[in-house]
Amino acid sequence: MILERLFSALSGRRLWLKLKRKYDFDSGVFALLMPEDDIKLNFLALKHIKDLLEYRRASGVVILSANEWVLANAIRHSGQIIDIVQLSEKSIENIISYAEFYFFSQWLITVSLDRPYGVKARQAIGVSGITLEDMVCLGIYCIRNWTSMEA
Amino acid sequence: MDNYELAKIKKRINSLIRRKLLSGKRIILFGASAASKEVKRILLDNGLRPDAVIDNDKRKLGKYCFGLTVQTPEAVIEPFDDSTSILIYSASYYKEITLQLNKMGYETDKHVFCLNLKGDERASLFLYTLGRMSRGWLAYLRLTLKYSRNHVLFLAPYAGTGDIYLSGLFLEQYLKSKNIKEYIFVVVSGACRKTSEIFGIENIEVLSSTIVDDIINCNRAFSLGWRIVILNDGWMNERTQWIRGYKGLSFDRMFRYFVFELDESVSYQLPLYLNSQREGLILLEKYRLLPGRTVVLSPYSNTLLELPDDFWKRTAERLKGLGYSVCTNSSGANEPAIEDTTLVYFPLGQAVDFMNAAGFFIGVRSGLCDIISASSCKKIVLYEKDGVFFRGSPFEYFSLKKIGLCIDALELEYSRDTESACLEMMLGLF
Repeated sequence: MILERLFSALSGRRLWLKLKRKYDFDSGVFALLMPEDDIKLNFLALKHIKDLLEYRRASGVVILSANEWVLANAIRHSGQIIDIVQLSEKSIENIISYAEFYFFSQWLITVSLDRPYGVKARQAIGVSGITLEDMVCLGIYCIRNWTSMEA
Repeated sequence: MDNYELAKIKKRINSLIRRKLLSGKRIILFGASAASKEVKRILLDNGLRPDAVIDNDKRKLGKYCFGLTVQTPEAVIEPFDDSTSILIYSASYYKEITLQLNKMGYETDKHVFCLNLKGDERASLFLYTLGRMSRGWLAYLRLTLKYSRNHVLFLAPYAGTGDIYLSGLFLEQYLKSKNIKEYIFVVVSGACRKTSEIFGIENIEVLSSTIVDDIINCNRAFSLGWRIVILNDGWMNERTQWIRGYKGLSFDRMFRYFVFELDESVSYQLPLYLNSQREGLILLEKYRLLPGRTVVLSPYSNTLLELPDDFWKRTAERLKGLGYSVCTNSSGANEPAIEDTTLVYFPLGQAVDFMNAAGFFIGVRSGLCDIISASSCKKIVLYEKDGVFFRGSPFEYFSLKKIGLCIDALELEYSRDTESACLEMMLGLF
């Protein structure tokens, strides 16, 4: 198990470096890793790309996903998507394993409530009126001035 | 800010000072947050004073951040000024900020210095992280050898005693709800140990703060499934940190929901005090302070604003004029006495006794306020007016009354503008 996780993280690092070379993430481009099959979560993440880029002063995003809905629908949601990259489930798992090792790049955003930082974000939904949209914008995208309409 | 980050910031600032990159420069802090306080404190310890705090977050503009008004980058560092050194501390945004400053003409490592642990993809950093995890693994093994693998490991990674106090309030209920019989309670300082002991917590271990982080990292990275509970509401990039203060999520509610998974119906388990003054009276006598007419000033806090020295000095002078003896609570050499007051140290386990005997407390909001909230003394607690703590203000987030720890404290929001009014309201209690 331990070796498996280690090799997975190493593979994730290799793949990340390859993607970084291709898309030059350090120049202000976010990699949006979308590993979940949760349509609502993915929809909200796509819906708020513009807010993410505006607040964090970035120029575009590259979508990384294996999810068919995301691959088919992403482009409709934002003109600032530079590319949509179809990855295998295994490749996605490898990148997440790498992210679970340490915070290697702020240009990687994982659209998930459980990984790589634990499950508390999922527990937060519904508490004190916290919505999934709040967690996407505040928790995942770190848009610090985000306020939902009903807040 | 995790413990490695703090160590890194200190090292980085010391290195900048040694290389003379900060002396004689206009020092600007980029990012108004709780972390700015650590940065400012380290600078002050080295005889340097930041000139301004800037931030891109519009909510923070015009507010005070540890004595400085938060301004936009454009207002402070445009046009380009070669004598400016900009220190960035922002765990999530530093690369974006660096790009922004570069576009304004400021060069990285000449004008712009990032204080963060800069995560990147170097193989050496990967290996370093692995090394740290091995250390975490060994520490975990040592603990389980001393106790057992069946013990649940509670890890309190932050040195603030307020976190420990809050954890103590919920721990008993949590143990019951999860049917936990055996546990180890790991803290990172002697003060945290003392706070834990107030609640009768067992099997307390004090570990270095970085080792606690290593244990957490190791468990996460290798999905080891160790039975660990992290006693913090948003440690190490946990996404819940960003909702602190949002939609009424105060300090206690964050711990209640996201650390202990308890609903509002579960009440606190307050520590049992004998409500005696005996130990306190002995301490007062030792320091030659007047029983029932002593004001304990507590100007130091781990997390929140500390008020200007002259405010405390004025307060002490006025109180002495009214016939009170005035002392400053200190936990060490870096917490000196307010001028013309007696420096006192009381063990946290005796804090309530001491305060009962002394009679009066005036302090900035700190973990000590949680502990002495059970005292019958008159309490005045100060918060930074217009301050920002994640999505709330320090008062909204940490208010003792809102948390439900006491109803008799006078809680005031301090700013330079309200200083005189604050002082008069405080003195009205005497």
